[in-house]
Amino acid sequence: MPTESTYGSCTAVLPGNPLASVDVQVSALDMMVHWGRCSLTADFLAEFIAPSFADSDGARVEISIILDELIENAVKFCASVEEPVVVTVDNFDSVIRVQVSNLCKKEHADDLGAAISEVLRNNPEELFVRTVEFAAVEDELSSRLGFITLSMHDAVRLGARISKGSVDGLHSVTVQVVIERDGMPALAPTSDGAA
Amino acid sequence: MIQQNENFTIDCSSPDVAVLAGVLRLSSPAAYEEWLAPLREALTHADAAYTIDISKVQFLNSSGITGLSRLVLLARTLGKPLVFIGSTKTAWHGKTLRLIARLYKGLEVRLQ
Repeated sequence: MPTESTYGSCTAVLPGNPLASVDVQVSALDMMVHWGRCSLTADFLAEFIAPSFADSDGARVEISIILDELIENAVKFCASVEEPVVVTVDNFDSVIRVQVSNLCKKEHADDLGAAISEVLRNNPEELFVRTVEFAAVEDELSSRLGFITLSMHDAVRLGARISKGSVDGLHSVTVQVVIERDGMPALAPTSDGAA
Repeated sequence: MIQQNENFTIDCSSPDVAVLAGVLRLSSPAAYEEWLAPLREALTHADAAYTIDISKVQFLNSSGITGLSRLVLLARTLGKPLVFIGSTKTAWHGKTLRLIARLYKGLEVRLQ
């Protein structure tokens, strides 16, 4: 029977319904073959949502950075290249929610849960230094900085939901970033207050 | 030496300054190793301080931050002063460079 674990911002209930939403489903295989499509997807969704904000250029960059990190991660750890990666951006009145979902193997789901827990428990700056020093000696091929750099911003709340064994023994994972608009100047509303 | 692809340029033609520009979103730290090799070489052989100018970089993913961080660790190992130049117009430059600066006391960050 599937069991679900939630971390960080995924344990919180967001206020009301989204004022605007956009979601896309992409093929992990396509993204791996054409790596640039990870950033293309991030840029497209950021471009779509950015006009809601007074500093639309700044909003586009901030949202694209978050989306790109989450999409790259999902594509790298997708259980099979035939499985889709689902990307959703919801614009609530006071927060923006970004979610990226994929299926992955148990070891990757366990790694993800551990990585998110570590980021949520630790000071991100100290964790950054420790991770870079460790990776330089022990782990040449991977970065492991994505979640750390995302969590550096005071306005960003990281979270994850992992459903174990939900599909053919694979684990369904959703990584979520909630951005508090008050804490990120680029995400101030337009002068007419439109979201 | 100037390296470029459709998304970015890495200019190491000066012996003590590297200028990066564009969108750097390669797939892994290993993918950055080859592109950043000329910087490692120049940094190793620089007579004094070495400067890396990212003020015209629009995007840099976490694998790229790892790549630059490894250059900082190399400068630290060599005891060589290192300067990073970023732009005040790009919000992530200040945050990222201040973070990288925690790796090495001999690193100076200039935002202009």
